[in-house]
Amino acid sequence: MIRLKNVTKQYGKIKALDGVNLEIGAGEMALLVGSSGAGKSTLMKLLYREERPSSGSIVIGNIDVSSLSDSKIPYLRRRMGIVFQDFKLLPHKSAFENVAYALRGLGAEEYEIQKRVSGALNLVGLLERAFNLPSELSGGEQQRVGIARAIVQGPPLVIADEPTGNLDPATSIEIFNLLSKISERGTTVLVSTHNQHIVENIGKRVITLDKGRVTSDTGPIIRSTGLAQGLKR
Amino acid sequence: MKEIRIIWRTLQEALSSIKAGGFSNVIVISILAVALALFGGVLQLNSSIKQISQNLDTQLEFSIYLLDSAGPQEIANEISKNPKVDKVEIVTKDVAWERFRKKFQFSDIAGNPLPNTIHVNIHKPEYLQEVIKEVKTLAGIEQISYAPELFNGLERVRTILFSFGVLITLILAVGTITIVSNTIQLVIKSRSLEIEILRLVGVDDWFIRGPFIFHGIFYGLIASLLAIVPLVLLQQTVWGSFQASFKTIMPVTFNFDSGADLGVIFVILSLTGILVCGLSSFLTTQKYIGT
Repeated sequence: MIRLKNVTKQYGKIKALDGVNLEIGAGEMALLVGSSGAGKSTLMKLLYREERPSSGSIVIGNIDVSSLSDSKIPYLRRRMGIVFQDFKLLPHKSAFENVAYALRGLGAEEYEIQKRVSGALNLVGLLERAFNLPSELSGGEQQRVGIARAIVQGPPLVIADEPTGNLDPATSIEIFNLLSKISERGTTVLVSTHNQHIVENIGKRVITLDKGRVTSDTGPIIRSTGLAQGLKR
Repeated sequence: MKEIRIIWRTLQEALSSIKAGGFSNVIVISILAVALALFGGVLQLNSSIKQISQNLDTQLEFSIYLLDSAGPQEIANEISKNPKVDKVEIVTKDVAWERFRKKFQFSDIAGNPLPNTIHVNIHKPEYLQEVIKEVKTLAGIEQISYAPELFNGLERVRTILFSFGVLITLILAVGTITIVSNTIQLVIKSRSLEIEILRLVGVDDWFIRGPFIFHGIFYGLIASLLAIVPLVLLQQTVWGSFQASFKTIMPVTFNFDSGADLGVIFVILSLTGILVCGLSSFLTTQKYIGT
């Protein structure tokens, strides 16, 4: 699903990523860990083509992201869902409208929007709060809206950049369980985090970055761990 | 069908963008309307003067002012012999004086300063120069007044006024583009989160930028509608009294048309407003949103 070959990203003289090689298979869930400044966010941005690599190649599915022209970026992003640390929800729109917003921009029909948004909100357990504004939701609920928005188009890949960075430990576990659930439905999920408790207990592949290099990789976890058996409140 | 849905939603987003503009919309539209009204005024004045001067250029009439020593009847008889001349009318200095006194409600002033006058009508405008040349050879002629002389004068005035008006309009256009661009830029900044989300979920560039371009077009359209109002009022009030005054002071008679064509001016103003504002918004979105 994701293949990085010798990817380097340089900002002036600083190398944010240095010769990264990585393969993540379809339907796999992987955690990207590392200290602040290790290159996690840079790698994420390269995947959704917010940035271009200085050298090397990035292929997602059959799309060569590294050589993708600017006009084709929307085409790439429609095939992935992105979850952010700060949720990025529109404050004056309800949970339902936040999830539906992108679908409207993509020209989806109203009945299709209703069906897809309800399905996504149901999956994240927020159907009953669909018409609440973000300010009326807790942090964890807001992030679940963010996840619903990421999966509403049914993308084969979900990228989550520090999705629990602003949440308490218990809520963080809920969010990781939810992302595991999405992965088990066949979606490739890549999550960057520095939550050591989750990393040690989730039973998923862990890729460690340090100073822009992959320093360790547990490799694909073959056995199914269910809903992260080790993760309990 | 999908395209129609996207266009409809783009318009809905444009409405949100206009709402986000708040009171600044009123300010921008007001400034824009003043600039467009000025431009329209230049077009209106230009068109009106052009209409008058063209009317003058095709006149079939000229006037001859005689020396007091000359006999009007003899000269009129001589001119009438020319087959290119259609009609000759003598207005003696006494009759002219009486008309003048009545028109301007003068009481008495010492003496009668007006000359004997002969109004000559010819069959075709192209005979004018030839007939005047022949008349000039006659004795007792003090001065000949004919419309093409006025035509040339009016054309000079029109050119100067039009050039000046265009210059002022261009200066205002630059100011207007800056104001529209800054306003759209502020709206873009106020909606930066929405724009970022739309970009990250893969919505096409033109759906993201479209509402802001429509926003600019809306400015141009509303401002042109407002700009035409003072021009209509101007035409209705000033043009009528101008016609009356002009007929009084002119040495020759002719018919006026209805004045400048406000329909054409409105179309020009609307297109200019839409084009300038739309382009300004397009370039602003290109700079601040474009991938």
